[in-house]
Amino acid sequence: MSTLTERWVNLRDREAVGDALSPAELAAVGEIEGIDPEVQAYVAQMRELETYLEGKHGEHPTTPDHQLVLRALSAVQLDSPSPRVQAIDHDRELARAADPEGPGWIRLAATSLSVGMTVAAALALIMYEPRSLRRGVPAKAATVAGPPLEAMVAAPKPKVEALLQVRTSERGARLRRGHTADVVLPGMLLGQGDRISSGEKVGCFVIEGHLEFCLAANSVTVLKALAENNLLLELERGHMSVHASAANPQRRFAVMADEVEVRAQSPVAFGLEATADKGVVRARVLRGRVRVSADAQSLEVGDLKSAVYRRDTRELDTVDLAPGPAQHEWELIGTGRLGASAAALWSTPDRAKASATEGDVEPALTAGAGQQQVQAPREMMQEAWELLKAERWQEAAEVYKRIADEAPESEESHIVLVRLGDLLLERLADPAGALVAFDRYLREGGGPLSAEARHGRITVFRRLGRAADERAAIDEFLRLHGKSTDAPSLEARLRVLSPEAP
Amino acid sequence: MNSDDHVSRRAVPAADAKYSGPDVALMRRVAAGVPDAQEELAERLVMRVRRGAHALMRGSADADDSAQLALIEILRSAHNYSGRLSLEHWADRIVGRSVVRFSRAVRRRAGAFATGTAEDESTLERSDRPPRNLDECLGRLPMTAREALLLRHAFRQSVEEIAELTQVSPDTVRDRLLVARKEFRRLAPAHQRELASLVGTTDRRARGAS
Repeated sequence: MSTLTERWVNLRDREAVGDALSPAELAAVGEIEGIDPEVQAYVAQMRELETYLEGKHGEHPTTPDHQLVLRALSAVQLDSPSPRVQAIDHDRELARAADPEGPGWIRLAATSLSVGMTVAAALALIMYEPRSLRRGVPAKAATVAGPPLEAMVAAPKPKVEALLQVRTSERGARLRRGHTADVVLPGMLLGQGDRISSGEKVGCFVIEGHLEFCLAANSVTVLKALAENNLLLELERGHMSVHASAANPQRRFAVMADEVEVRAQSPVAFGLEATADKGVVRARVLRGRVRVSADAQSLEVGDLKSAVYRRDTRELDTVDLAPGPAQHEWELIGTGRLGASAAALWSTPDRAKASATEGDVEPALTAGAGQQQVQAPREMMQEAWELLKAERWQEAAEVYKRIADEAPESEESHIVLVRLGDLLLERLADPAGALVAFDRYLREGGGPLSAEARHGRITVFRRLGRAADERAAIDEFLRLHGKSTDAPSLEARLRVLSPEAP
Repeated sequence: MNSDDHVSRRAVPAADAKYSGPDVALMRRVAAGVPDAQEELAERLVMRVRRGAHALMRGSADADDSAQLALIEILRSAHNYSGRLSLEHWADRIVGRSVVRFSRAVRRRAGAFATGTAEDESTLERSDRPPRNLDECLGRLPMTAREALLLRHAFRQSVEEIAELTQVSPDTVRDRLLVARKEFRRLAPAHQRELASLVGTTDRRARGAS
């Protein structure tokens, strides 16, 4: 277990047993969860546990759901003074009575107190006629003895699958769920009606492995429908790029913005943007075909075409899309996890044409190049993660160094220094390089991972045999992080290094 | 204890109601004994209730009975719902309490309480292969650890509430939780453990600071 993981485990364990974490500790937890793949795996596991009750029901239930409902309702409506005993006896006896080989439940003829109560419950069911008894069954059928219980209760209503697994992208995007403002983490279940917002940065999520949605900064989308035959998202604000790598003919997939609906007709990559007042909605298709509908108008839009709807004139038009590469990068923020990079997409059919003129470049989109700078470190973090998974430590370290060097102003470039130090120290036997990374993190102001960076320095000095430096580093650590769980072991180490110390 | 869980019928100020609207209206109709509303509520929660009951009473033939009792308790407690919690969250807490009490009663009848450790051992699901999913992970945990883990994280009970329910001290609950969380991490399903093993498997501190 790495240093960061160990710290995270310690903090989360404390939180689980009821300790309140300080704001600094909470910040550290958030930072570690943002950068440490090992921790992200544990987070996903805990998320699964926290949403455990939302899954399908338990193992091999012996009683169908509708029967359980019926029994609970009958017990409540009878309002007996001893509902528990009655409910259970009632349950078992009715189950016996439901045997299709049996003589019918009215013939249970009180042979015991519990059976007598069973008959009373059955009579009450008939008197109250709950809807589930009436549904789909002739009225007299419910009052005639003979058929097994299962036959009397109509088949359960088909359940709409309202909650599908939504796999968020794994690049550490900080999308948030509307109602609770929870950060959307990989593996989190999102449900119909959930509102997803991107905040200050770009974020993406993936549904069912083949539909990726990337929200530009300050954009909001709502999962309007998540049914097996219909998937519909609504862009409430901002700009969203969509990449569908496979098309399911059995399932309607569309994205809407105000009055405009964009329905996928094939595997497709397109962007959808609404102005703040939704006066203008644009759908730009980079690859594939979509059908755009608005105000009783409908048209099909294909490769490198844009559909524009203006609410004031109520006109829906298409124009050629001939943007420069920067715009395409903007349109396909983050696209790439599902098989096609932005560059590959815009180069496919008409690359020469696309690079020729500015064409339909909207003012809001020309800022795409700047957006790309924000995106790059996140993309590189993802790349580093992939390399770590392949145990290509050296290449992963190089990617981390690039993040730190090429985007020094980004949040990632600072945080990544501690991860880089860990990697150099533990995997690449490069304590000197690790020391440079830890020192830089602390020199640039440190942050929630300062304790980890200082602990890393101590380990570096120990590996290098620099006892005096190690002693000084331990002194500094104990002075600044005296309450750390590492303090006792470091104090012991200090006594070894300085036997004369108290 | 949360006011939504409390048995008392005192009115909760409207300002406390975070989840108002349809759910509160539904629960009022349930409390008033409207059959359609009761049925709507029962159908809405039945899968969730069963899942909770089967998780806590893993492998027990009485799990469906406990689910039924929990559903009845939810229906009868409808008048306590104030909208401070989501309906599902509110119901989860009732299910947690109801199932644990029922489970204890069943075990007491079976005379299992005298040998807690033996009981824990008997409910363990053993296998040589690693667990493939969350259900299998839970099955590999001792009963007391599984109960603590589920009540805390899936049913969202506090340490003190779990202590009261399971009739042990809060410190015992904390110990059980820490043990359960550690074991749960170790038992992470294969796909998650694969990720977890990719980086930082060396304990730098163990080697560096011992």
